[in-house]
Amino acid sequence: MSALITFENVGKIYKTGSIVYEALHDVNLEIEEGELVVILGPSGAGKSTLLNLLGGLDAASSGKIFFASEELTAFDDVKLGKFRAMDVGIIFQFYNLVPTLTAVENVALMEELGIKIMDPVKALEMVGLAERKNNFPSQMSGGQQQRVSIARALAKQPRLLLCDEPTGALDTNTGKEVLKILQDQSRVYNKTVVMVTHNALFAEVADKVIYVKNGTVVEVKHNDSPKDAFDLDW
Amino acid sequence: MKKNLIKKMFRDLRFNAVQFVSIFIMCFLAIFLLAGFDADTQGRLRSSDRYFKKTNFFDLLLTSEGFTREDIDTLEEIPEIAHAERRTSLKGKVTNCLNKKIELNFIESDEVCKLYLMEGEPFTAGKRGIWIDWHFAKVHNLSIGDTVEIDIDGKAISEPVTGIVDEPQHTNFMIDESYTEAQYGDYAYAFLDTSEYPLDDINFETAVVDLTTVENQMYLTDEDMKAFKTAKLDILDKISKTSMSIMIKPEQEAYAAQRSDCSFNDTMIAIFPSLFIVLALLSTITTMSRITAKQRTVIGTLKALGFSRKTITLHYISYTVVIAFMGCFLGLLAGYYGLGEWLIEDFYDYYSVPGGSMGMSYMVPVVALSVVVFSGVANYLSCRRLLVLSASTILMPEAPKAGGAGFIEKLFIWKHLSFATRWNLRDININRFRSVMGVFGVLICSSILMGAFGFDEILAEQDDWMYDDLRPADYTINLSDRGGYSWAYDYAREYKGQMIMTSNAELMSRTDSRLFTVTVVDKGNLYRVQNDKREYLDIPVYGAIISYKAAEALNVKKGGNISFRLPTEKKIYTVSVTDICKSPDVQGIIVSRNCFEKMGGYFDPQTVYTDMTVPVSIASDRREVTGVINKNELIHSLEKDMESMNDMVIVIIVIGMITGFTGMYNTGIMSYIEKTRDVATLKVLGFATEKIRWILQQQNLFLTGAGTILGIPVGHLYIKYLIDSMDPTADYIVDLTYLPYVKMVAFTYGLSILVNALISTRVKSINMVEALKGVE
Ligand SMILES: Nc1ncnc2c1ncn2[C@@H]1O[C@H](COP(=O)(O)OP(=O)(O)OP(=O)(O)O)[C@@H](O)[C@H]1O
Ligand SMILES: [Mg+2]
Repeated sequence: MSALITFENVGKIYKTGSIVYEALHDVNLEIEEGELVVILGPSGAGKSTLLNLLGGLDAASSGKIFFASEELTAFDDVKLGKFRAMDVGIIFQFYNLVPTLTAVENVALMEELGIKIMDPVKALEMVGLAERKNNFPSQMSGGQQQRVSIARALAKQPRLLLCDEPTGALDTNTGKEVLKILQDQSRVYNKTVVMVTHNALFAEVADKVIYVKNGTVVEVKHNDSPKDAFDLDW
Repeated sequence: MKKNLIKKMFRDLRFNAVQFVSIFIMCFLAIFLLAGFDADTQGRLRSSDRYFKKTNFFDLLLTSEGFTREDIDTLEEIPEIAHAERRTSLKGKVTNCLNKKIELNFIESDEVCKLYLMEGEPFTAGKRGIWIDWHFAKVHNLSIGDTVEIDIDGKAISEPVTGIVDEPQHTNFMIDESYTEAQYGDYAYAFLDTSEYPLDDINFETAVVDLTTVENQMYLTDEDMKAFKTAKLDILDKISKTSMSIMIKPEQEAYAAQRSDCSFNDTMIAIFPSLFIVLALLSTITTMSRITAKQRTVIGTLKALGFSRKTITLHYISYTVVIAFMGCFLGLLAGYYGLGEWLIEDFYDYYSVPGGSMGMSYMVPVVALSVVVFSGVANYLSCRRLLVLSASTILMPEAPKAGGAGFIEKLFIWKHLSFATRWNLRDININRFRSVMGVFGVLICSSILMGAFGFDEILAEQDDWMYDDLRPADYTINLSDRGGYSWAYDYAREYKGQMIMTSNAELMSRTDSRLFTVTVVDKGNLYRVQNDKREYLDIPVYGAIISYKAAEALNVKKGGNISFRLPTEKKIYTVSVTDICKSPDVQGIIVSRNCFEKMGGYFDPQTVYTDMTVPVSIASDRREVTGVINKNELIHSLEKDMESMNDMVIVIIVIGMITGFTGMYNTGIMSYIEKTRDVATLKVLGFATEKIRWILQQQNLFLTGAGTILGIPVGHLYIKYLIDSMDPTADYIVDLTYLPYVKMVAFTYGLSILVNALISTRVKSINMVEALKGVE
C-alpha cells in the first residue's frame, strides 16, 4: 500500500425519511503523495460526496478509506477532528471564513488548535494578500476571500489539500491565479492536492483525472505532461 | 393545495415540538394566572359589593364615650345623612356551648349594617331573642327556638334563638388578640334588642351612619371620598362631642384587609402574566424566524410555484395563532375554574361574605385575545422579511454579517485577548439585538429569583425580628378594656412586667390626618424599637417615634411635629418626632408613659409583657384577663401565617425557573442557529467539539453575567412592589445578607449553563456538509 490515499469499495447512502439515495457505490481509487488530482463529473455525480468522505466531514456507509496506511473509516469523532486539523486543508466554493475574524485572524485561527503553522502574514503573502490582512471577510471580494481561505489551508502546511469548486465563484483571471497557487503546492512543495470541479478544462493541469458518474468512478486518466495553470485557454 | 399546507403545518409543528410546547405553556400560564387571580379579585369585590349593598354597610363609624338619643336625632337632621344608629356591645361566654366566647351587640333598629337573615325572623325593635351568627349556629347545632345561656361578667342571661344571621361589620371578625386569623364557629357574634341589655346603665359607644351621597360599596370613587370628608366636617360641626372619632368605610379593618388582598392579586397579575406574555412573544419570534429561515428555499419555491403572498403569510401565521389560541383558551378555563376557585375558597374561609361567588373582568378575555393577536403579529414580523421578497431573491444565499467589536478593539488589552474572547465580543457586538434578547432572557430569571430569595429571607427574619429583637417577653397578659390602670399595675407588679397601652387614634400632621395606632410604653426592656438598619432606638423621655409607614402616609419628618387624638377623648396631643422606626405589625407612633402623662394623658394599659411564667388558667379564672399568650404560641402562629407565604415563594421560584428556562432556551437556540455556519467552519478546520462548546459557553457566561447583575435591582423592585401590596399594617426590613444573592447567582448560572450545555450538544452532531453549503 504505497499510495497516500486508497478507497476500497466505498459506498455512501443518504436516507431522508423513507427515501434512500445511493450517492456513491463501490468506489475504488488510489492517490499518490504529491499528485494534483482533479475529480470531474456532471452535477449530482457524487464528486462533493467523495471529497467530503476524504476530508472526514461525513462518514462512509460502506467500504474503507485509508490515509497514509491508517484507516480513516475507523476513526472516531475526536480522531477525525485531529486528522482534519493536522493533515488536511479544506477549501470550499463559498470560502467559509469566520465573518467575525479579520483575514489574518482567520489564518491565525489554526494556532488555536495547538498546531505549528507558518507566520499568518507570510501565508497571506503567498496568496498576495498581505496588505488586506486586517480586513474582515465582508470587506473583501470573492477572489480575495477565496485566497484567504487558501492561505488558511496552506498555513499549517498539510499533506493533503482538498478543494471543492475553488474557482466556482471566481472570474477567469482570479481563477487562474488560484489554480496556480494550488498547482505550485503540488509541484513545488510536494503536497497532495485533490480538486473537485465540473470544468473539464482543469483536466489539463492535473497529474491524474478521476471521472465520476452516477456515484461511481468511470475512468482514471494519467496526464504525463500537465499544463501550467497560466497556459490554460479558459 | 390548502390541505397540503395544513399537513405541512402539522409536520412543522411536530418537528419543532419543544418550541411550540413552550409557546403553549407560556400562553397557558399567563392566562391561567391572570384568570385565576382575576376570578378571586372580581369574586371578592363583586360579592362584597353585593353583600354590603344588601345590608347597607355603614359609610361612617363614630365612636365616643357615649351617644344620646339627641345625638342621633342631630345626626339624622344633617341633610347628607340618611340614617344613623347607635350601638353597644358586651363580651361574654356561652355557657351551654362549651363556654365559647361571644360578642353581644345591642341595637335599636336595623337600617344601617343590617342583619343578613339566613333563618328565622327579621329583627324588630323591642323583640326578645338573639340573632346569632350562622357559623356558630352550624358548629353548635343551634336552630330557631333553641336557648342560649350567656354569662356576662358574672351575670347570666338566657335567650331564645330568633334568627340565624350574618352582619357586614363582621366579615373578618376575630373576637380577641388570641386569634391571628378568623376562625368562625370557635366564637360567636350575636345581636339583641337594647331592651335585653343585662347591665345597669346602657351606654352607646358607637354609631353607624349611612350617607345619601355615597351609594357605592367596594367601588368607591373620588367623589365618594370627598363626600366622606364633607360629611365628617358637617358632623364635627353639629356634634359638640370633641372626644368623638370618625372612621370612614375604607378604614374599617376587614374592608381594608380585603382591599389589600386584592392589591396583592393585582401585583401578581401585573408581574407574572406579563412576564409570560413577553416570553410567549419572544418564543414566537425566535421560533418563527428560525422556521422561516430554515424554510427559505421552501418559501421561495412556494412563491415560484405561484402561491400568493397572502396564502403563504397566512400559512406561517396560522402556526402560532393556533398554538396561542389553544394555550390562552385552556389557560382561561383552568385559571378560572382551577386557580380562581381555589383562591376564592381560601377567601371564604377567612371572610364571612354570604352569597359569595367568583367573577371575571372583561380584561381577561381581552388580554387572552390580544395575546393571540400579538402572537400573530410577532409571527408576521419575524417572517415578513422573507415573505415580502421575490422568489429569486429568497433563493439567493444570505451574505454573512461581519464587523469588529467597536471601541474595545482600540484598547491595548485587545491584543492580549484570546481568539475565543475576540470572536465572542465581536459576535455580541454585531448581533446586538440577539445579545440583548439573551440578556433579557436571563434577566427574567435572575430578577424573579432575586425577588423570591430576597423575600424569603425577609420572611424568615420576621419572627426573629419580632420576637427576639422587638417583643422578647415570654408571656403577654391581655387585660379587658374596662380594667383601667390599677389592674394592669397589679399584674405588672406580680409578674415584674412592663405595661403597654395601645389605642387607635387619629394622627394628624400639617398636611394629612389618618387613623393609626398610638402605643404608650412604660419603663422596661420588653418593648423595643428599631430603625430600618435594625439598630435599637431609645423611646424618648419626651417626644415620639413614628413608624416608617405612618411617617410616609402623613408626610412627617424627623424633627417635625405630630398630633393625635384618642377615640374617647377631646384632647389633642402634640409631640415632636425624634426618630423613625420600622414596625412589623403596628403602624403609628410610640411615646413613653412619662411623655404621655406629662401631656396630660391617662395611662390605661391593656397589655403586660413579662419574662416570668404566667399560668394560662388565669385567663379563664379572672374576669379582667382576656388572654395569656406564651411567646412560643405567637411564634407558632406567625410561622403558620408564613407557611402560605413560603409556599408562594416556592411557587415564584418554580415560575422563575420555568420562565428562565424558556427564555434562555429560546434565545439560546436562536443564537445557536445563527452561529451554525461558524460552528461548522470551526469543526471542519479540526476544532474539537468540546473546544467549540466551551467557546459558546463563554459567550453565554458573559451574557448571563450581564443579566444577573441587572437582575439585582429589578429583583429589589419586585420585593418593594410585593411588600407594598401586602397588609398595610405590616412592614418588613429589607436588609439582605449575601445569601439570597449567592442563591440567585447560583441558580441563574446553573440554569444558564445547563441550557447552554443542552443546546451545544448539537455541536457534536452538526452536519458539516449541510451547514457549509452555500445555499440550502
Ligand atoms: N444530504 C443529502 N441527502 C440526500 N441526498 C444527498 C445529500 N447530499 C447529496 N445528496 C445526493 O447525492 C448525490 C451526489 O451529490 P454531490 O453533492 O456529491 O454531487 P456533486 O457531484 O458534487 O454535484 P455538483 O457538481 O452539482 O456539486 C446527489 O444526487 C444529491 O442529490
Ligand atoms: Mg458538489
